[in-house]
Amino acid sequence: MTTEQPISPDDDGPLVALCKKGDMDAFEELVRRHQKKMLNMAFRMTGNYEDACEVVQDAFVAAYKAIQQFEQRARFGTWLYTIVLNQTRNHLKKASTVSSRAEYSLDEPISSEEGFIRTEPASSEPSVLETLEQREVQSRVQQCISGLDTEFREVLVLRDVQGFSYDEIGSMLKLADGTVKSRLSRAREAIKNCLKKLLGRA
Amino acid sequence: MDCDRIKKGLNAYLDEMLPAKERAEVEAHLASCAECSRTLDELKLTVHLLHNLEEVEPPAWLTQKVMTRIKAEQSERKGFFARLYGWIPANLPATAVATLVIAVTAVVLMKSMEPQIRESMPATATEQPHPPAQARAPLQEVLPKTEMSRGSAQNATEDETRLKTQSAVQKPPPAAETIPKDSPATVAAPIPYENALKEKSSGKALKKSEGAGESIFEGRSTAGRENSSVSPQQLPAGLLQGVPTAAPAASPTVSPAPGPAAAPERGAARNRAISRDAARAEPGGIPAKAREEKASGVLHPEHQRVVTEKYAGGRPRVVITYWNASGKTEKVMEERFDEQGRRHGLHRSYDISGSPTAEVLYEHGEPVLIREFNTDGTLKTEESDRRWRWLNP
Repeated sequence: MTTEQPISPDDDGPLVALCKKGDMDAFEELVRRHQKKMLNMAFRMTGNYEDACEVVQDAFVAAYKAIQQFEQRARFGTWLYTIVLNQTRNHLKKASTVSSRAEYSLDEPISSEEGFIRTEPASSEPSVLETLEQREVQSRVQQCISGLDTEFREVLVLRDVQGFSYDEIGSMLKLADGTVKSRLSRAREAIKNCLKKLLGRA
Repeated sequence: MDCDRIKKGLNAYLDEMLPAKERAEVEAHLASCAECSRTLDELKLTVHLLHNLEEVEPPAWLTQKVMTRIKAEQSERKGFFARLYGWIPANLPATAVATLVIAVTAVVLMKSMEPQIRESMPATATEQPHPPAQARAPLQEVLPKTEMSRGSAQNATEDETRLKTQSAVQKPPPAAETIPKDSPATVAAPIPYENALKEKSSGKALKKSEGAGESIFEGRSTAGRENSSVSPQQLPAGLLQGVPTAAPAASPTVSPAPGPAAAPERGAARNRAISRDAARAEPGGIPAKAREEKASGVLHPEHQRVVTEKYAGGRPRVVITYWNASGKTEKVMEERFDEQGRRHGLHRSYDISGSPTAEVLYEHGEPVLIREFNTDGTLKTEESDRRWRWLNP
C-alpha cells in the first residue's frame, strides 16, 4: 500500500504523519527530539526539575492522544509548547491549592533573604569563586522567575529564555500583541527589581 | 517627564520592535539622559541573565517513561475486539472496516460453533426441535461466573462473542480437558506468551536485578524513614507477592501462562483463570495464583502496571510498570511513593535486557542520589544531589 506524505512546514511532518497512523516509533522519535526544549520550558515555569519531568510526561501523553487533531499547518514544536504550557498551568494550579506557594507580587516589594551574594571563605582559586557566583546568580534568577504570577512568567520565559517572537507568543497564548508587550514589560521590570534585591545589583 | 514615556518604550526598543521614527527619538533621548540610559542598561542585563540561563538535560529515562505510559494507557483500552481487529489499518474507509468486522466475527463464531453443530446435527434432524436452545444452555451457566471474574466495563458484544466461543469449549462441562486443539479459545491468547516464557527466564533476571539494587541502597533508603511501610527488606517479597490491580479489561478467558511448576494440562487453565480472577476480586488478600505466578517470576503479559502495595488513602506505594512487546514481558520501571504521593525510595528504570539503566533515590519527592549505568551494568555516573548541577552546571 502506498501512503502519501502530507506536506509539512517542518522536519517533523513525516513523523507526525506516521504517528497519525499509529506508529509508536515515530512518536518516540518526536519525544526524543523535543523533550529537552519542553523540559526546559517546564523547568523554568515550575522551578523544579522533578515537577518539570512530570509536566513534560503528561504533556507528551496528552499530545499523543490529541495527535489526530494536530493540523500540520502549524509547527509541531509550537503545538507541543502550547500543550506543555497548559499542563504547566494545571500543575501550578494544583500545586497552589495543595500548598500555598508564596508568590512575589508584581507590585509588592520583594523581601530578600540576603542582600548580597554570599561570599565563601577564602579560596585559593578565583575561578571557583566565579563558578560559585555564576551558580548563585542562576539560581537567583530562577527564584525571581518563580516569583512571578503565571501569566507574566509564561510571557517572560517564552520571550527571554526560549527566544520566541512577540507574534509567536501571541498565537501560542492567544493574546493580543499589546497584551504580550505589556505583560513582558511588567515581567521584566519585576525580574529586574527582584534581581536587584536578591543580588544587590543588576 | 519625557523619561516616563521613553522608559515605557525601552522594552520594545531593546527587542527592536519600535518603528524607525520612535527609535530615533529614544536614541536621541538616551544620548542626553543618564537615568534612562541606566534603566536601559539594567534592562539589558536582566534580559542577558535570562537569556543565558543554563539549559537542563532531560533524564535518561524520560522518553522511555513517556512511551511506557502511552503503551499502558493504550493496552488498558485495548480489548478483545482490538486484538481481533487491531491489524486493520486506521485509514481504511469505514464501510470496509465494517465489512471486515462482520466477516471476522462470523468466522470466529462459525469456528467456535463447529463442534457443537457437528454434534447436534443428527439430534436436530430426529428429535431436537430447538438446537440453539441446547447450545445456549451452558452459556447461561457460565455467564454469572465469568462476569464476576472480569469485573470491568467491556463491550457487550465482545462479551457475547467471547462467551460463545467459550461455551463451545465448555460444552461438555465435566470434561474440560477435551478442549479441541484448534478451538479459537485455545489458539487466541496463551500460546505466544507460553512460548515466550519458555525461551526467557525473565523472572530470574527480575529478581536478580532487584536484589543487586536493593543491597546498594539498603542502608541509605531506610535512614529516617521509620514510618514508611515500604522497607527495603520487605520489598523483594512485596514485589513478588503484589496484587495486580491495573490489569486491563481484556484479560483473556484462558488462563495466563502458569509457572513452570504449574504448567501441566491446559484444561485446568480456564478454571485457574476463574479462580485467579475471583481471588483478584478479594479486597485484602493476595491471590494465591498471583503469588504463585510472581514467585515463579512469571507475569501475565497484560499486567502492564502492578501496584504492589496500596496506601490506605488509595495511593499506590510501589508501582512497577511492565511492557509487553512481541510476547515478551519486560520490566521497565519501578517507582515508590510516600503517603503524600511524592516519590520516595528507590526508583529504577530498566532496559530491554532487564538490567537497570538508571536509578534515583528520593526522599519525599527530593532526589538525593542518582546513578546511571552502562549497558554492561557498570556504574556510569553517580551524583549525590543532581539538582545542584542542573541548576548550576
